[in-house]
Amino acid sequence: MGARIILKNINLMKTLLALLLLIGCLRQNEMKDISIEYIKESYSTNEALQVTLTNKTNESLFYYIGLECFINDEWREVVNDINNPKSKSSIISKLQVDEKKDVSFLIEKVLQDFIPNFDTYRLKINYGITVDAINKQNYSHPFKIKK
Amino acid sequence: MNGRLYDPLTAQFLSADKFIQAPYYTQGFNRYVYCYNNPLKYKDPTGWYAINDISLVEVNGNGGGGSSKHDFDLYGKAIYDIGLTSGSSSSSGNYTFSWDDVWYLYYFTPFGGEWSTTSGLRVFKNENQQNRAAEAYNSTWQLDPSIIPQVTSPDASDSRLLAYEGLLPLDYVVDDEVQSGGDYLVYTGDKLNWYNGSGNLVDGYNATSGLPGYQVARYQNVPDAGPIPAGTYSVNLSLSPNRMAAASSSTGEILSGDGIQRIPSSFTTSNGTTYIYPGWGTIRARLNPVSGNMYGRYSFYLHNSHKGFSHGCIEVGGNFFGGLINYGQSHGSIRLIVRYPSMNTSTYGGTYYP
Repeated sequence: MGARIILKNINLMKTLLALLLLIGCLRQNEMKDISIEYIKESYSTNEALQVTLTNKTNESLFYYIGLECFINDEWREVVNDINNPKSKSSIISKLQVDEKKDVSFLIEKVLQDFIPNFDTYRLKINYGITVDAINKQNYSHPFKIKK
Repeated sequence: MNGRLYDPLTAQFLSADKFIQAPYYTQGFNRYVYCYNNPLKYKDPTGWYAINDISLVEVNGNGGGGSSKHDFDLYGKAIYDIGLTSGSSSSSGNYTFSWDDVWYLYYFTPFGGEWSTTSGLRVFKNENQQNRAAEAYNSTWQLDPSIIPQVTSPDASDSRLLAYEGLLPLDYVVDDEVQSGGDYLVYTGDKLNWYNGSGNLVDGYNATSGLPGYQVARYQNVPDAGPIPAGTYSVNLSLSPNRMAAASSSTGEILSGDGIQRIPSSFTTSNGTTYIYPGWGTIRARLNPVSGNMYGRYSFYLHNSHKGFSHGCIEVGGNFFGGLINYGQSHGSIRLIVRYPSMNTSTYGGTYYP
């Protein structure tokens, strides 16, 4: 009788644990409205950087992609929009619900001559549910660019 | 003093100094006091500049490009490519000269670039200007007797600024219009300071100019990356209630425009591409160059983005534009002076807010 109760409790705890893990996963997905996949660890400047973006929310998102580099122990933005690197303006793209979109750009075209030889970079996705409310950010894994 | 009359009773000059010697030092804006009210430390035999000993400290060794070139730090102001000469032989090391040893010091067109032939510095050790104590590298400039009279009669409008030492004219000369009254702004690298017409600091705002990696004063001649060049600019304060900067219907880029302008939140071009303008922020004001070497660069603005970088404009934090619009209600323009304390001055004011 006692052993049966203990076994029942263990099964209950397993179920609870599984539920917690599920909630955790769901919350993690909630935190990343747009996932950024297939970032390599390093690139050379004449290479194309290709990533896949996925809209994980249940509404369409508007976005543009910037570039940050790691300088003096902090992340600093160096390019406002990789599709418009020397400009103060950003070209807005749309990502439908559950849509996966491949994004590709030539690194040398983004860095041009004016970006110094920093070591570590990351992509910065700026997004929002309307064009006039692009106020959220998500970041890629850091990567190296070898000049 | 040759330059101005001094009243010993009030211990002040009777006329204002033509030069603001040290904008980053509050006493520098009181143009009637003698030697920043610190006569024990400074002296002012000309009436134009407070002076002290001259120290040339070699900071980077031989800068290359010739055995006589060296980089020096002079009172915390970096001077590049100074070749010290003693007779005809070049040498290196640290040098200190007293005022008694040094008579004249020329400084030409700051920030000409490390290897530019447009910059020059010469220090003469004796009255007849024959023995040079120090000479900036300049392959085209030769000792010209016609220049000498300018030493004894400084001309504020002469871009080949000279000084009798003390504070080398990386402080460039502020023209009479600025000093004749009215508020003015001074950008010193990481701050945009607002002064009233009496030279008192009214407010200060964090400010940034240039791209990361180029946010140092000496890169001001680098197009699209360096900070705004030192000089004087005028800001047209005209403002219509709903004045909005225009965007190109084909490219979506914000077009150039004078005065204070709001930035549209978004714009869709004729081919359906939508743009927003986070690199501008929500408001901007054009900077019209008045004096200074622009190095062929143009189209500078003050704007209130928070990117922590620009391609030469000045990104200003805080509620700077609120004050600017208020001031514009009673004034047509305001002068902005870009003056870096040294060529190593950082131009990043911590304005990045992701």
